Amino acid sequence: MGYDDALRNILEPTLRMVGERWASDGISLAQGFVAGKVAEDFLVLGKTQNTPRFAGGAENTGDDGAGLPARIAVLGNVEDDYHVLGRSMVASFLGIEGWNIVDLGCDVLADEFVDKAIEAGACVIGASAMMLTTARNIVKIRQVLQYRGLADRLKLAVGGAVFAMRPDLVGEVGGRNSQNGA
Amino acid sequence: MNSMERIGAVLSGGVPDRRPFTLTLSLYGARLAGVSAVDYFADPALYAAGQKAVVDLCEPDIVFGPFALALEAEAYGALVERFSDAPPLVKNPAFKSALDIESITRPEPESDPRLRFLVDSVRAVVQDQHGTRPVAAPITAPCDLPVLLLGMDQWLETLLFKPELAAQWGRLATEHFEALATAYFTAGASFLVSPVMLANPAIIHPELADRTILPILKDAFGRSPGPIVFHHGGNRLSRSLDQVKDLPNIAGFVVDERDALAVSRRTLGAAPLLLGNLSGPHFAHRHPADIANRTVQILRDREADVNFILASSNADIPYDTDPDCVVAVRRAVEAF
Repeated sequence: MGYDDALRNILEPTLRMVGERWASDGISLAQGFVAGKVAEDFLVLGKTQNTPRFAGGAENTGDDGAGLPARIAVLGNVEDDYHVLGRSMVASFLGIEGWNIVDLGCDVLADEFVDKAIEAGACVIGASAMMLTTARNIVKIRQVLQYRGLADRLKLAVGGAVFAMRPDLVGEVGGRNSQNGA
Repeated sequence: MNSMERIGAVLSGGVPDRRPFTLTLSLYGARLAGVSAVDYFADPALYAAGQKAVVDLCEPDIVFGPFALALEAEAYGALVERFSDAPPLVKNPAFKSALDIESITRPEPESDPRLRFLVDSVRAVVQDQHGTRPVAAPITAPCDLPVLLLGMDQWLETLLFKPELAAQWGRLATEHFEALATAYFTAGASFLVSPVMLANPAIIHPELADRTILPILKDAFGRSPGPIVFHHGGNRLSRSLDQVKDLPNIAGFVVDERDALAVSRRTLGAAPLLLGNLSGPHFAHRHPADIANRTVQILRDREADVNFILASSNADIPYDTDPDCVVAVRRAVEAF
């Protein structure tokens, strides 16, 4: 079995199952963490072997001629937030799905999210926050998007433990969507 | 009855004059005292003044020492961010690698300024209350301390794949817990409250927790010189209560707002204290009338439960909460 077969027939279905179980509280963070690590290792292997999927082909840039937006996401923990794990797991899972990820790390200011998203040609900003106090800083990203007239071009996805506890917060901070176990 | 007598009556199977209640208003004391949380979480006198203001506002039956677990990590060298309206937060863990365990010198509560602040604050609050009100001392669960010192990903990786190294971290965390718990009780704390994150099936599945987390908790809690209240730590607790209910020195459990109190009580049996379940972080976004209604609903539900204490769960009540929301709980309890 080659790399691409393993990816499509083993890893992708397994990760889909992990995602579904996680969304329904069927697995623990530790199990999701291990799945994320496996996905990450697999990605590294793909890049090392220069397989077509990771060689800068259509799946990464997204510009496949069919008019679909580029599959590029800018991720980061919002201003004052330093909880790394959720963000890095989302980055791993998106990576295995063929997304190009620009990971900005922790404590990212609103302008920086937007600047980097423009620079990278991203279609989505993923902002992570674990606590209520830091989640409120996501509003600033929404405000920058509105102010710069980018609200229709750049989607704002939000995530973090606080959104599982308070789903109403997604709209309150200006997020377009959040998905449990994403 | 004063609060100490009220809680004492509950613990001894007596009849209190009314249902005792408490709210986690550690941070909120800064707002009531009119000081920045930066100063508040650095000066025991300011902290005690804040807790005095909390008592003046709503007379909870239990007051708290600083809910500032990040300071325990700062004592080890973690980089901590301070905010004017929120508790301190770990910005960068103290260590880059689990292998750094070999070079760690454990800070002592008597000499480290961060730990001394925590203990001195408890002492100052105890002195202010003159034995009329129990003082709870928040303390990082020993299984969770490495999360603050290493980061969650490093600690998970160590726990899952490097058992001997994980055991070393477990020993460090246990010794830290014992030393700080002893200092808190010496300062006059009535009990510890320990938010436990990693024993929860949302974080680690039960079979693994049995092997890795429970032994750490059993050892550390067994060394505590006094009672501990097991706090749900942000996740639902009712489905894992069975796994943790027999840990040593546990006097009670704080459950999440999403936990059904009746289910939790069935799992625990009649004896341990059950505390909850008004979510602290939700206070800032609820109307006082809504909070009063919820309080009454909970009290009705638990009317026959003599070992129930109405309490806020989850994290501290936010700084920007309307004081009327806090007072609404006291009024509802008194009117019930």
